[in-house]
Amino acid sequence: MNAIKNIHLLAGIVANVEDLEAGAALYKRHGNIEFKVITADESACELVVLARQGKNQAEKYLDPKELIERARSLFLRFLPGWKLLVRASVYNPHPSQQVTPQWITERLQARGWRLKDLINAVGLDKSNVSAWVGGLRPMSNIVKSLMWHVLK
Amino acid sequence: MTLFDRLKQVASENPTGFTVKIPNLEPVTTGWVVAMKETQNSFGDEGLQRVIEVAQRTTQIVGGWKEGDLFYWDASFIVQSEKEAVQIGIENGQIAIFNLDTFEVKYL
Repeated sequence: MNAIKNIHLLAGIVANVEDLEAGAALYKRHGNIEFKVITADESACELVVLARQGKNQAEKYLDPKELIERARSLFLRFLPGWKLLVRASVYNPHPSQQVTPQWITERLQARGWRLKDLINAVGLDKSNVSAWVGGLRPMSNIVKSLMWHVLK
Repeated sequence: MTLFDRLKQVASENPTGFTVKIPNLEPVTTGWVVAMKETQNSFGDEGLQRVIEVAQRTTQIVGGWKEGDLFYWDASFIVQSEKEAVQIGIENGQIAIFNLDTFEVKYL
């Protein structure tokens, strides 16, 4: 599977496309940054790419300028002298990402709920819910999403 | 839950990619990450088992990512020195390495 979408548009234009893909694969793997070739005009030496970042484990997110810089650094290494236009799409976290044990506690207080009310609302066993609310066990994204939808 | 099962759980929650220390599964978020040649093309359950074995006797760093229908795994080096990372990358036949602090690729 190609690390760069529409990489075929650069066939015959970039000599060592495998190396280009290797760099893109690292961005994908470590930062969930994906690149997509939109257009490649060999006669005009103009390239348009999309650089999009999604949620990643490191929770490190680049702003548009940084995404553009990474794209330029990656592509222009293999297309020196080309004009590159980058469309940057930064990561916008889902509201559920704000869920923490403290957030849950504050929401419970605001609703006048006790822990047993939350347990009844989410329909999960007491030990798990207690562990999440008490900060004893990390919450997966699915659990955060559940808590957010129940307590938002 | 075994380390194997816990890593598979981390993988299912982070299909786009992850890198963790073993055995505590703390995410690695700083330094230069250099893939280990010994664990290239490791995928599936058999691949994960091999990667765990290699990581346990070397760097204690395991990572993975999903590509198509397969989940790939590797053991990695994490170093703070760029010079050292470049050297290790060359020794391990890598085309490029990645800096987790600046989120930049460096070609070797």
